[in-house]
Amino acid sequence: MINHVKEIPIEGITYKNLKIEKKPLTLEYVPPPPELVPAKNRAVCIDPSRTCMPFGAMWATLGVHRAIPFVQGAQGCTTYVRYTFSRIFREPATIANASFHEDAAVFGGRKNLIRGVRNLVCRYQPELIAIVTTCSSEVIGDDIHSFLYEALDIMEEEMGPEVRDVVKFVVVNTPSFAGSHVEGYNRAAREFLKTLAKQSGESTEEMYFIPGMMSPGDIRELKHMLELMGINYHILFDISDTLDCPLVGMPNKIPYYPPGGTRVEEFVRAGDARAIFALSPDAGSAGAKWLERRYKVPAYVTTMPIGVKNTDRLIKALAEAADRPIPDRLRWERGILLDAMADTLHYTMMKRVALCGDPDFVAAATRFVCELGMIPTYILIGTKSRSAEESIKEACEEYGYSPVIMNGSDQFEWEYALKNDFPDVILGHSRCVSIAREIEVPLVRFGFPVYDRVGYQREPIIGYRGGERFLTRIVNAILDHHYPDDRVHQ
Amino acid sequence: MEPLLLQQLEILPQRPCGLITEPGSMSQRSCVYFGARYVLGPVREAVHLVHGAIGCAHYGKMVRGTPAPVWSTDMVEKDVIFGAGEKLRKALLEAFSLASDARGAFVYLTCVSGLIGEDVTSVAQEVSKKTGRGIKVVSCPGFSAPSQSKGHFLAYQALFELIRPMPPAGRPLVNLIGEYNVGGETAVIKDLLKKIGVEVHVSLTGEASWSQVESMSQAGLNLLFCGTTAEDFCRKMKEAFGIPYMKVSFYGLKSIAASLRKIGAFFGLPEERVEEVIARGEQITLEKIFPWRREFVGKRAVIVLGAHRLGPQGKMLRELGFEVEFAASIFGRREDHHEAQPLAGMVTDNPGDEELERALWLLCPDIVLTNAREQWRPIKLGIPVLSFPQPKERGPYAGYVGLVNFARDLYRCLKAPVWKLLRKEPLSI
Repeated sequence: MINHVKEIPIEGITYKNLKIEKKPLTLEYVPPPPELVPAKNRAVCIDPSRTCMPFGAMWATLGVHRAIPFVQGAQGCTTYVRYTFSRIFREPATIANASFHEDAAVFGGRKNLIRGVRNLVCRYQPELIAIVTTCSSEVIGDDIHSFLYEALDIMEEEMGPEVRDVVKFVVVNTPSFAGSHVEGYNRAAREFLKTLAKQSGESTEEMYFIPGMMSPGDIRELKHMLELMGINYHILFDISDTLDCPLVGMPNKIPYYPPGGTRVEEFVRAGDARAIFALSPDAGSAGAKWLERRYKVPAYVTTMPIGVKNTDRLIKALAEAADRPIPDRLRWERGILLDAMADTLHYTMMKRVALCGDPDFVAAATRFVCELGMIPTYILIGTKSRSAEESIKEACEEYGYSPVIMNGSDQFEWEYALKNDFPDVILGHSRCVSIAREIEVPLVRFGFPVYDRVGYQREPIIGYRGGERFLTRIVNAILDHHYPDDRVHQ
Repeated sequence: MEPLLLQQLEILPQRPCGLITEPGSMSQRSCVYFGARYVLGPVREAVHLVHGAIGCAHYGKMVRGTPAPVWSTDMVEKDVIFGAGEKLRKALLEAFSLASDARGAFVYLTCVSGLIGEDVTSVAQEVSKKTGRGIKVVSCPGFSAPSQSKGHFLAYQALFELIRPMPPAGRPLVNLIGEYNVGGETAVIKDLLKKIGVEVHVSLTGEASWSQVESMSQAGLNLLFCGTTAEDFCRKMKEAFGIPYMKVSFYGLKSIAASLRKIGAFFGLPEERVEEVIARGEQITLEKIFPWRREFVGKRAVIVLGAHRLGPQGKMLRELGFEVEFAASIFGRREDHHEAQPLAGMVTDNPGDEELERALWLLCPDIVLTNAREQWRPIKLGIPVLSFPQPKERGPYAGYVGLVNFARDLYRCLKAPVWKLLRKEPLSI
């Protein structure tokens, strides 16, 4: 008896004698057969972490000023993509469609393309139309180039010969069964440069950048770093002012076009560039390499500059390529990031982290979490990529970790691993919410796609300043989850 | 002088419904697969296997907020060339052994598998025989019809084939057909019907599982909500199982009252009880929305929504005091247009983005009701938007609670200070 309190008499049924009939709400959990867990043993793919190839090409096209992607396929190929864009960026995305119906499937999409392109030119007066093919047009075997030739002839007759100069056309072949959105962006980068880039013979000091599927906030951070270094830069597929625009009210002129985007002339002058940088090895490097082969423009392919070392590498490469000193301001920013890392090491050190996302994002973020002293456990690379796997292995070897790398696998395999071995924090996109909720582990959102929280498209994660924001996001998620009510912390 | 009508001004081309889309017109229509996935997405106890390239499966996951896994055969180049029948067979067997609680599977055909001409049905039959679980093939290649409407039709056909004959329940039991649990509407409707003494059996497909669908024939009445997609299904159920159907709507005071009276009369429920529910509901609703109504009277709205929503949403707006400048459906049919005709200045079908933008530019309406993926365009023009389907946090728009929510959201849209800041206070030094 504690403190001599009298025993309180219990009336009725005591807990021990209480009999409750237990009825399960759901069926009993049956673990999946172990041989079917790895995706490579299965024919079925469950919850893929990658989407279709035209998506990447449309993403790239939307980064060009007054450019419209024209999707040669069924209407869903556009609707779903517009849905995705509107959910991520909360901006209108102008994407046209060839409206394939049964007749197009039987007779081919010639009529659709000719009429569609004509309608677009009449109604929207675009500067560039990117014809993005889909599964259906590729299976039918549409000869897009000859259709386009015919369409131009018809338009020339109707609108005069200047139509050929006013509107540029780029054809991007993106059958979804041949790759994912990352490959779609890659192909678009190559095709845009292939079609548009010229060399005048006068080399310039201009440097070109293919950012990959970075968010508008990331691209702004990249611009900030380049401006600090005093580099004369051009960013190709610059979505920062097309998919994140100010609200100014009713425009004087319609159709509405966002103010930003890469100009067509910038693509044309790319052949004279001093150097071209591809900041995502899987999304965009094909364009840079093509430019190097064709016009001898030195191409630099770097990992996405997330974290200290990745950004250091980029800055050094930039300084070398542009022959410019590294400004003190950037050293200052680096110092701030290091300070933030030192301030928070107790929260990040030895925390186990699982990652999921597109190859470029995951590869760069893995190195960053290693720098934070976190232990990567299970890494899902949504699209199969050799370069991402190599750079993850390189980073992990350097820090002495050996995570399980699921290259090109699906979320089922990754989630199953997490269920059996809980991490402390998950770094992933919005599709990782279910598993994070299920195993009650905080989720830090990054990469593509993040649509269930606002403002992520404006928040940079690249560069030193972006790294600091990313670190803050990670630490706050850990604090919110593991120490939610710590009010006396000094 | 005769008053000018919108049609004469040619602000928006007036189109009858059912036309195919002009290529390059920036239509908001979607594909057949989209429609089928929309209806079947939340059906539980089933494996949803998308037979096609990976993209369709990835997008197929974003259906009405259901977190159920999506399965795909992930067709690659090799499968397109040599056929993927064997892969599909393996995938189905694997899916059944992984999802041990699934009663069956829906196999969706996409553009790729549709074009290469896979014999999916025989594979499905073979696997079905081997595993003893039902497999329904939904042949919905994206190009096979002008809009998603066909996909809805195919989905309902697949669901109809599941239903088994069962003895009637013997109490007032209804099925909700074409009710999609947008923002939790199923619960509101259930509650309302419970108050008059009617029980809800299955809601297609707001709350449905494979086994629930099988037992749908127990109900005594089908309540039809979304006419475009489900009327055919109800007709077939009437022919096969003798279950009558009636078209109801729970959007707006008049519609709710009429629907409740109709249902009450069908089951012979005590009239006083029904009237009491209606009177109480209306009283509470009117009390709540009264302070907002002043803001609504005479405001001009524009509706651009799927198909069956034109009428109900138009009625709700009119009840709250709005004027409807024009109503445009995306894939409507004649009945939807007839319903919307008396409510709006003009009704049209499938407007392109450019046409819509021009119309908004010329009309400058006070509010636009449109679907979620198109909501940012009017906002960029500085016009408030109320988007559909509304997210869960905004709550249901059906029933008496729903009208209050709807009015509250409209009030929020109209009175947000951001519009005032945008229009009236330019930055001047």
